[in-house]
Amino acid sequence: MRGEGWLEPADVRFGVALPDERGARGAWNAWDAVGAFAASAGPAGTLELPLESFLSRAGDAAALAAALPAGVDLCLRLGPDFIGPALMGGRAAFGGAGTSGAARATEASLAFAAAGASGAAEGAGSVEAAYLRAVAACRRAADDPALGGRVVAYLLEFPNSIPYGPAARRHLDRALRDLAGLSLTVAFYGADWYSVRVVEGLKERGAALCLLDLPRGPTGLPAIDVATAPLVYVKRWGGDSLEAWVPRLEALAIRAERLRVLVAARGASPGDVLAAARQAAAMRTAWVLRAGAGAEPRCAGDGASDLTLRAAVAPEEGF
Amino acid sequence: MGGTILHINAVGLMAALEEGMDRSLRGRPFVIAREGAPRAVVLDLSPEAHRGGIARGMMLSLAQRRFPGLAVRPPRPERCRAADEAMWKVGMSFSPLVERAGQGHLYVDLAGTERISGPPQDAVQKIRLRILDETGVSPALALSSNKTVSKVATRVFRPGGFIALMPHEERGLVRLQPVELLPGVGPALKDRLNLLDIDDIGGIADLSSFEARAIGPRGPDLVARAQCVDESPVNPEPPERRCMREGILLEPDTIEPEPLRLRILYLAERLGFAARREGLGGRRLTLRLDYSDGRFASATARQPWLLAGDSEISEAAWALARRAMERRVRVRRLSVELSDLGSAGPELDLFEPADAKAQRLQTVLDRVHGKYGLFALTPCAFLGAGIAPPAEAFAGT
Repeated sequence: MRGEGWLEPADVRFGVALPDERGARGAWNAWDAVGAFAASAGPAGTLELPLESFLSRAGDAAALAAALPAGVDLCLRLGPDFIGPALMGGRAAFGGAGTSGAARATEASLAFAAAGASGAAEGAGSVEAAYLRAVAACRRAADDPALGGRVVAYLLEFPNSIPYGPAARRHLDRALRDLAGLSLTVAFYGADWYSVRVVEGLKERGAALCLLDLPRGPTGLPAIDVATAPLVYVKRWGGDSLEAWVPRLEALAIRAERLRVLVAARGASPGDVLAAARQAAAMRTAWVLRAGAGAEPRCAGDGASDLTLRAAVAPEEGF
Repeated sequence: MGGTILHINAVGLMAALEEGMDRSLRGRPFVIAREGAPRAVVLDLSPEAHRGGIARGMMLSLAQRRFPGLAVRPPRPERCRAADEAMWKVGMSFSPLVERAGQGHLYVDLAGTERISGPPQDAVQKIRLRILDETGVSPALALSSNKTVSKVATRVFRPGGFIALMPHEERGLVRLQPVELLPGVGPALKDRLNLLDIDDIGGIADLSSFEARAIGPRGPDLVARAQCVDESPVNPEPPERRCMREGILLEPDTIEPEPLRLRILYLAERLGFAARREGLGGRRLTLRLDYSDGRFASATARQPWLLAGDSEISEAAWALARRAMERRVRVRRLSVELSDLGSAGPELDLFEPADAKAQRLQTVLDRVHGKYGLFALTPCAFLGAGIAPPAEAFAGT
């Protein structure tokens, strides 16, 4: 049945999400991590990094593009300025009761950056101005010739501290309109965003729901797979096992034109990045092996002799 | 420990099968309808068409005006039935507890299957891929601790989505969803709830027991389900053993009483024949009318005795139709359901019953129908009114 009129296989890539680590002057400070990723990456991987990583200095975009193998594409994580207006609305709930380790790490980085970038005392006006600057910067990055059209996704993250509500929903709607035309994916770390209204709203606006894989626990998120746009974006924080994910990816790939699977690095040190790269490589290996088992997954870079990520697959992580 | 009740929801099965057969339809708005039939309606549609404002039951001409160049594909009920059967078989290969809940809908209880199929969440992925392999359809799947939660969840993440809920996550997810996603809330009840500013299922869950009773006799049950309390088991008994149903699509749709009455007579004949062949009768009779504008009405009656004869079923169904038909809108579809089934074998009476002649006639008719088919003998009323026997009747709709 699958052979008859079957759909084109999706473009599937695996990669690493780098954290938002900043130096003393507030500039992004994880170039070593990019270097470590570049050293381990094959011809067709993917890398998620904060938009601000190359906005602070002229020429950083070109340097980034040059540092990575030509086939590696980029996913840009939009900074806290993009959610500043919603964060102002949801500040009462900020720091809500217990979050999982991974979510807490993300939230801490977002909260830190929000405080640094916008400043609680600066008021709504400056938050609004920061948001508008961020949108303009995002548009510039999309048109930046140095990146040569390598950006495949823009990730907007709503931390657990922003609960679903009228103000947050309006801000999401506005952000999606302001960034229309870009390949957007939205991650919600709060469970109250997972309603049919949000899912259908994302579908209508052509934005992808980022599928988060957080450790299951009393405050975690349910395991959810759904494709709301041609792009499907999976971000792993260490939830389900590798074995469980491969069939999930296969089902998702049917509905996707592009599937990106990112493993979040715990830190920006080369060791953390390499550990994440190994996990990504193990997932890709499992994915490619599944093709040999009769399924039809296809991966960018197939046919090349090396895997997307050259990092050796640790024996305990392989199948 | 997560839930073990899986709901499989192949929403828009006809459209999904069509898309699986013809890749050019992917991402395009298209509908399933009998193009060329008078007053043809949309029977199924792609998600893109749905997003464009088309709905099931809409007039095809209106849909085509809304989407010039809209692709239309004919219905293929045999393919739907085959896909439905294949899905059921896949479910049965994982658990003996598989309940059919309408076309494209299954409940599977995966409790106790861990040693054979692995943890339920992994088994669900295997089921998902098997269904895909065998039907080309990627249904929505939800795993939770009961049928209500699983059903609500597949309605959120359809088409093709998956969600596995831990028990502590269920209430939080269900509360957020609009009331119409809760099984048992139809358009009429939704309007009433909206008048009370209850838009989310959480609003129903918070109703007091007094308020729950005010909704109606099933109010407390509805509130319990909104609170994610549903102890109904996955019932593997085939639906034809729980109820018997016959339906008919009226093309063209009509509001005239006589054609409606004749079609009800026709449905009663089919239903009665099917029941008597099994030696069954039913105490509960339900009639449902689907209007051309997509709304529906239904009425149910419960009799102290078993309904089995054509005449008693048709009379009861016609009485229900008159009760249900409150709107001056054309009727597109009729269905009659006989439930609360029981054995209706011949009773040994001391004296010959008064309606012995009618019973003997019924027996003869059944013999003829059983040997030569239902169209071998057609009521004169059909011919006199110039109504040909309906070309298609569909069971289980």
